[in-house]
Amino acid sequence: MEINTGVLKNASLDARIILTEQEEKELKAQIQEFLAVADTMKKINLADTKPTYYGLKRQYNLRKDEVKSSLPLETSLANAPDADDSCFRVPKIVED
Amino acid sequence: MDLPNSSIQQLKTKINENTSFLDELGESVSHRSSKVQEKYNAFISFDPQLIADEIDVIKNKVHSSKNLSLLGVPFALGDNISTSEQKTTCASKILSAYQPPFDARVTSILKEKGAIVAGKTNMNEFGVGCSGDSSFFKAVKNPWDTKNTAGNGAAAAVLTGAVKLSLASDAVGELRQAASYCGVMALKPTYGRISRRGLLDYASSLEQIGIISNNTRDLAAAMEALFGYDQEDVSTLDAEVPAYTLMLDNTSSKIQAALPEDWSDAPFLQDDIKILFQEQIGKLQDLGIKIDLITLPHFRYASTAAAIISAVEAFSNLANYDGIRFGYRGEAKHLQEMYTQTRSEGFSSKLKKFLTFGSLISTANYYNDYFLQSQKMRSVITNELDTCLQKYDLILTPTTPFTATSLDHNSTFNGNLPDPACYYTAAANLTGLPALTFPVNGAGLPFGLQFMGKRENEVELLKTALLLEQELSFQKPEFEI
Repeated sequence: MEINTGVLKNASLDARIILTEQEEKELKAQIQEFLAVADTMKKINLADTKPTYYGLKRQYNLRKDEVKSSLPLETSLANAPDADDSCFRVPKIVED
Repeated sequence: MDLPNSSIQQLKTKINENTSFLDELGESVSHRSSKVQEKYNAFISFDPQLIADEIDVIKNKVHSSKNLSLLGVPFALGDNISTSEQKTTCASKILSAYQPPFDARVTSILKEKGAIVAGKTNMNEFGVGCSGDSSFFKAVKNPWDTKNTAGNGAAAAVLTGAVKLSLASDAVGELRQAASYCGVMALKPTYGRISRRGLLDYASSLEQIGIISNNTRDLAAAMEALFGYDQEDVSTLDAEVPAYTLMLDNTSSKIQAALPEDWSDAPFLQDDIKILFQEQIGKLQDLGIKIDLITLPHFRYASTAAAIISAVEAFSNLANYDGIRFGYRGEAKHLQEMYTQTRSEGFSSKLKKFLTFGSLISTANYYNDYFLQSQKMRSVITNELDTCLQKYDLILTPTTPFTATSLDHNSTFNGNLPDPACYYTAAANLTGLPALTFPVNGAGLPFGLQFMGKRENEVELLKTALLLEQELSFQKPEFEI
């Protein structure tokens, strides 16, 4: 499957990442080579097979539905690049 | 004192006889870790004062706490395992100043059991692979040959005796690959054996914290301490933890191992690994291990499926790193631009490409053919290996198709997807099965024999490792520390 540069660019923007031209070129080549290998797996008929999404074969153990305290405000803000007394501070959302 | 060759029990006995021995131990750990850092760049965070503070805490516990099963045992932690007293960077610029507000569950356990956390070890960024080409803090050099990667600092730290044991993550085999490159033992346990709370993982359904050790008995002691249900980690197993240290009195006899008949089809399999592995098969058979060639028709797709699943999960997991609540923040006038600047400047080139690949596979045009197909292949491989392990005790393969790769990144497969290093290791992550790598001597650099075991049956892996430890002779150089 030929990878379209536009599709790759959109994928990187979905990941909130800008690739350089060189990175795009390298990645396009890597993905094309990979998909040639992955296509051998794609051809195997697994229509009747259920997918496995989780690592645990057993039932996951949920904790009791009890109210517990959350991370304190001071702790939550301790690693913030920019914050005031109670909130994270970020650039404006709406462009001019 | 001879820290590298002292057993956990010997350390405990010395400390109980004389608590001030802890000071000597702390100084030895600091000195050795400092040298390993200087020579091999094994650590990202390492603070002699923190070690001294830990020693003071342990001294106060020695005679008052009952279950100090890891008393005085120095550990290193991969730098994607949270520690409240030290930074946790994931070897990334985006978290280079991040200090967690809490300890990972494994960190808490080590402290409760009286262990010494010597420092945080270097690795590939976010633990993706172990080629040594994406850490923000530069690569870890292999003590066997510093022109080659160690895979991660956790393995280098154990090999050189800076610490007795290390913990590090394993999503598609990174822990085992690094151990193979460095000539040490490592266990990726059954999925759910060790709590992942506080692990900054990139592929949640695949990734486990594993243990690196120089010997089987230390490994068994660590497993006893670290395995167990954690009510704050829904993915942990609520299963009995055997007394592994007591089960090592008898080594395994009559082990039956399965060897995939197409094991030598691995891409980039080094000629000398092919020959040396076949020699090792002969030695294992001489020890009474029955080895049968068996057909596992879908084993060859494990690394491809794991590459796809891990990339999509990483695309989701690492969406968290946006410069708002913690970490590096890029300069920008507007919020959306800030997200892209932060991530484009904060992540390495390799990681950016990996996340873009994960994003692509998540899209409508690729999802069914590749991601969903990979999850189905995962079911097929799981059934195949579980069925095989009903008849056999273990599945044997090399750990990696090649020895430690060069740090000049000129390997012919550099940047390949799937990572060829994962060919043999990925199946254990896909299926959740436990897997252990045992070191053997190569032509120059070491490599590993990998054993996959039955679900929740790590004891067979331990007994096999103990047999090999007693019967095979593994030679390693003296590393001047």
